[in-house]
Amino acid sequence: MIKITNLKKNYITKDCVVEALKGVSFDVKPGEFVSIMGESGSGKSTLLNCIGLMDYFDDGEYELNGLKINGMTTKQLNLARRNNISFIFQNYELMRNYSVYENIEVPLLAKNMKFKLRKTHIEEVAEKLNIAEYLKNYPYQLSGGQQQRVAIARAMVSDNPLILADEPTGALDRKNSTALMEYLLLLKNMSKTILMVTHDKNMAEYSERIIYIEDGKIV
Amino acid sequence: MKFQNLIYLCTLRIFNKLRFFIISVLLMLAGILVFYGTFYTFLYSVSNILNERHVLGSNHNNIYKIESKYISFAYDKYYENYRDFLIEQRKKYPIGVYWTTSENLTNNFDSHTITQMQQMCPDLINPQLPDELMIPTLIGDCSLLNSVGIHDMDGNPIDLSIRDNGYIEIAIGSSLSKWIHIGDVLTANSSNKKFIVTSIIAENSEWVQSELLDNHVQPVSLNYYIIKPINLSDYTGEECTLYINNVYLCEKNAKTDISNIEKSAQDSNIYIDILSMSQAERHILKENNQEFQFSIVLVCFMMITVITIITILSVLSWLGDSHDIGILYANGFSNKDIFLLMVIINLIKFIFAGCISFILLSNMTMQSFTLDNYKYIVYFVILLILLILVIISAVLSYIVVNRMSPCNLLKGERFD
Repeated sequence: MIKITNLKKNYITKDCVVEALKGVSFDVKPGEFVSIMGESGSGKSTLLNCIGLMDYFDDGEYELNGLKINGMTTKQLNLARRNNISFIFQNYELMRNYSVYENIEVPLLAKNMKFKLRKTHIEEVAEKLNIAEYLKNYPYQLSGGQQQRVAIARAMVSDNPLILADEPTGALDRKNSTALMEYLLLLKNMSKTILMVTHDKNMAEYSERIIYIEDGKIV
Repeated sequence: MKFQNLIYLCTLRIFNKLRFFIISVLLMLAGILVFYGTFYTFLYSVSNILNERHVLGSNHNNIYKIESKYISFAYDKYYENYRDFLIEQRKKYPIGVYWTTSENLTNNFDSHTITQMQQMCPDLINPQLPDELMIPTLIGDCSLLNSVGIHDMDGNPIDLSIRDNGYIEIAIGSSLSKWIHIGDVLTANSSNKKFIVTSIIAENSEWVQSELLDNHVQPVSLNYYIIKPINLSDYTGEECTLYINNVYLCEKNAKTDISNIEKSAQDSNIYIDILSMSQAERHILKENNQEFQFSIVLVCFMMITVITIITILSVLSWLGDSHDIGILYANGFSNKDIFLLMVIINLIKFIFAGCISFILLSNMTMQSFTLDNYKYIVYFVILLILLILVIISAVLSYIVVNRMSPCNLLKGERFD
């Protein structure tokens, strides 16, 4: 699913150049659940952004689901992201002024799915994640755990093969974190590839493999 | 992404976001400001040009305006003179005042020429009552009598309302009361009109209130008040209509002889200013080119200023939503989708603001002849502004979209 070779990413500030990723290489197989662990500032989120095509990398090679990302135009990158990647963020990243239903609907709109089909998919996923009763609610009316389930539903509904989770349990208590990991396992059982960034070892243990990153390098 | 999906998302955004309404209202206000500003700036320059020539406006080439302010002046003098005359005459003669109309003189003054006023009177100024009585009889009306404070012998205000007895009601001075009594009927020598005495004026009646006297201008010759006012209808038939006070609009046709009107006015010592609207319009386009250009520059400046404000507001409103845009990126939206989304929503805002402005402007132009003349120009300006706004917002949206990094947007940073 993911094949990364010698990936480099620098941030240029006024005073200096910060090397966020210093030649990262690893593979993730389809259907695999992999965790990336590391200290704050180690480059794990940068890596996830590059993998999620939300940020550009400066050097190296990246192959996503058989697509060579190097040299892709913005349009191609957008298309690759739309058809392959779903995100689950630490702060849920739900649109505040859209209802739960509308938030889950967004990736389906991007995929040009028809209204009736969208509705069926959303209701189906909402049932699985026990949020069917909140579909008309707005994010701010939900608890943290419920909001994270909405974020998972949004990732789930788009049916993309790769799910990138950036500290998904970072804002949740233990109970909700455990529940969330159960949902991620559910996704894994649906043959999704999951790449999770976390600093919580307990959560990382849910994954099949843990990649440690330190100072922009895999250790 | 399909267009209907974009529209659907726009709809969601419009109905879900309170901010949209706030921004729309701001845009609407800005829109109204620019439209009205543009409109009035334009009108100001036009009216300046027009006022220099004593032309108030016309949408027909064959319309003339007759500036008859001197008629008004003459009438004012007449009115003041009339009061002075009453005061003077009261010292010399017992005065009879006859009632002419129940209509308020002030109202008549606004809507009728002097000639029309006189035509409404049963007799002309200073008709002769029976010679032996030597009573100068004057035109009077409620407002005038009230202003001079005439009371009857019992101290009550004199009621001079018209009655259906075929007689013209008059009040007589108290010095006549030993010969003439209430209810007596007098007949005018010259016109054979019948006058019935309804009141006798008290000796101590205040003819003119002191505060009114204070405002009096210098007394003028009594001859002045019988100045012959011009009667436009004598020359123009129905073609001349009173547009506003003292300004007549006359359509030029075979029956209208403008020079004849002018000559007649001069014969009556009335100075009127006649100017062809078509000439004035030519002046606007040719002779006052510089002023016109200045006004256009002013309009353009206003347009640019407000367009800038609106655009900044619009872009700021989007930047405020950069987090949402980041989420849209993360969920598969392309740059093109985001760009179209911004353009469509901006377009909806501008149309919303434009519609309100159109409605307000239409109502405004309906109320004014002069504004109505230029409404199509103003509509064109509004349309132009809307078009410019849409184009600028599209260009800015394009720039913004291409400078946005999805990753930074989610972090809360807006640009690379």
